[in-house]
Amino acid sequence: MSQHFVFDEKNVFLNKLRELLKSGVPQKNISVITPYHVHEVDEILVSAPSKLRIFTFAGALLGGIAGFAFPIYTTLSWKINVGGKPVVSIPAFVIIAFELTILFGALATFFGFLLFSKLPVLKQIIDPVDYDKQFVILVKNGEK
Amino acid sequence: MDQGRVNTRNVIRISAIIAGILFITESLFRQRGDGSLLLTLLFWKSLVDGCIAFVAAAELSKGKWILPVKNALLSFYPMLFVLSVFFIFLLFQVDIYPWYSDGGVWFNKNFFGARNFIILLILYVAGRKFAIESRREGNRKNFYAVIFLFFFVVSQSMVAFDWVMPLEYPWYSTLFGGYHFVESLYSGIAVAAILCFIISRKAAGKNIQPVGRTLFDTATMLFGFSLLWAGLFYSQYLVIWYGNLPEEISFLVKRISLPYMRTLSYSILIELFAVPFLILLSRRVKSNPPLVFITALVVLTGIFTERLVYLLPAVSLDPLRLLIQFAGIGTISILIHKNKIINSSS
Repeated sequence: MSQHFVFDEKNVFLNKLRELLKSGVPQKNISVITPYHVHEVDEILVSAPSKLRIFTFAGALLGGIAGFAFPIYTTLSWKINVGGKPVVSIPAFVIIAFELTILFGALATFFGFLLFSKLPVLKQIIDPVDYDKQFVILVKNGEK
Repeated sequence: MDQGRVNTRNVIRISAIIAGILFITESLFRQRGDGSLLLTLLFWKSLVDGCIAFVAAAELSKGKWILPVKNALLSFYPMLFVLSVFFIFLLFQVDIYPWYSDGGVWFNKNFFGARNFIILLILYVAGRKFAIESRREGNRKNFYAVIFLFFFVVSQSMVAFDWVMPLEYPWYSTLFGGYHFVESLYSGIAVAAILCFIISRKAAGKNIQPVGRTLFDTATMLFGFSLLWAGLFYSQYLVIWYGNLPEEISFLVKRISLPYMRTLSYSILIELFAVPFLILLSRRVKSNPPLVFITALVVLTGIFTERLVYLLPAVSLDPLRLLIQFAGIGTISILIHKNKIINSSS
């Protein structure tokens, strides 16, 4: 059995949310639907930092390593002397490594976001009930 | 903290005594061509200028996060005057510059001394006006902040172009001044992080304004500036390295050819970029006062090592006199800091 509270005004909605939390409803049973992102909800319903950061870090690390490994491999395969610089010239490869770090980090973040939001399958994130401009608190009663 | 011991007249007396001792040490024990005072001044000028410039920049952007540590940072503004006085001592030591024997229009002792001393004095006046106005939260604070920041950039660029670059004559680099003042701001942020740590230690148990968010924000700035520093360093280094022109490469060759110089140069990269970047990457570390304090100390070591690497191939250095100078200027700055903090809270 679940309850839902529908509000037209943001402050009344926030007060009810705080009151629900204070009365002991466990946070994992509360979910919130708002017409736009409400900052205060992030402070009231504190959640663990998103796991998306791991994707970004892994992508960036991979990009940095690839940015050095690929040029080093190719220059060692076909050695060309460019203006007296060493064949494996690290200062020149730093630019490529930097760009690939940013690129792979950004792409990994993007695909991780798609994964976590379960896009592009829309059925799992669109609620069948249309609440229009109202603020809604859904409390799931988790007891069996 | 005894009010009588740290009052203004005593601070002035003690500073004058320390200045006198340093003057005697410099005149008696200095060999020709020794640049220890230059190294000391380069380091302390970076720190002191950076502290106040950091507060000026934060106030101009209406940042409230700096308020807990603002008074502590601004308390160093009399050091601007102290460093101007020590610059006069440096004027007796211009034999480290290659233009000493035959000067020109720009590089003769009188013009060199006059222009740098006047800019240092203007910086002191601007810094003093900004610090006093900012402490009172007056409404001309933004105006003085802009003036101070302008003269901060001019003065730091003059330090780079006039005090450091001629040592390597005929090498020149147009990026040198900009790189230098960004390093100064970077060292100012490191000092802010250290002061946050000290305040958080003192506040443990007492009812002083907490510095948790300030520490987090200062650590974030330190992280950002490590990236900015690395970018500026790389932009200067890559151009010189890629061009490999004889007139530009002389600066680098002297600093990366000998094994010990090479180690020192690599250690600059590690201390000023690798360590702050890797340590301050995680959110938990940014709120951890001892770790941020250690990172800030590493950054300051990096700033000192960089000044050392500038000077080592060009001048001789005397460790004992360096120690005496550092101890002297450090004592004066601590006394000034305590004096201003007590006077502002009373």
